Amino acid sequence: MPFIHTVPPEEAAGLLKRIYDEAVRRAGRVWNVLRLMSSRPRTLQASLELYKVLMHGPSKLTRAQREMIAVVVSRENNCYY
Amino acid sequence: MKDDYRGADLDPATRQLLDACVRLTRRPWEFSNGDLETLRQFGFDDEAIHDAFQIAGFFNYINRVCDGLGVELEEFMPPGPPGWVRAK
Repeated sequence: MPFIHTVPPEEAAGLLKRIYDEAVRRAGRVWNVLRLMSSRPRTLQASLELYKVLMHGPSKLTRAQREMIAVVVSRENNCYY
Repeated sequence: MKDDYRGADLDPATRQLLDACVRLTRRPWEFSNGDLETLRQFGFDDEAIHDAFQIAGFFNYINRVCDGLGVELEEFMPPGPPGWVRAK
């Protein structure tokens, strides 16, 4: 269980519902990292937008290089998720 | 890669890139233009370097949000590697 309150998909409304719906369209599910930030939909929206720009936008780095940076940094921070 | 990228079969440029991102994670205050020059010598231009450090920065940010707020592991993730501690 997260340490804070999160909003389950069936209770989402407004902006959060739009974010959840798009997540399901894109990935088939609402990842727990999205649900974690569900109590602050504007923050979630901004964070998600930055993630998409960095990881899926055009770049001189390959997708593989970008994913490797993500893995290596997370390992440094002992972030298991 | 998940345990130690240094043992992985990487091209020298990518290895240099990842080393830089690790240094940025551990000791960001030590960075100078010299670090970027090294990456330029391996063929990365300023756009690529900018992207790399933005991504490294992003994951440093999101790692802290996840761990600080207690993100729940997905059901397909194993419970945690030996020695990994999740404070309750």
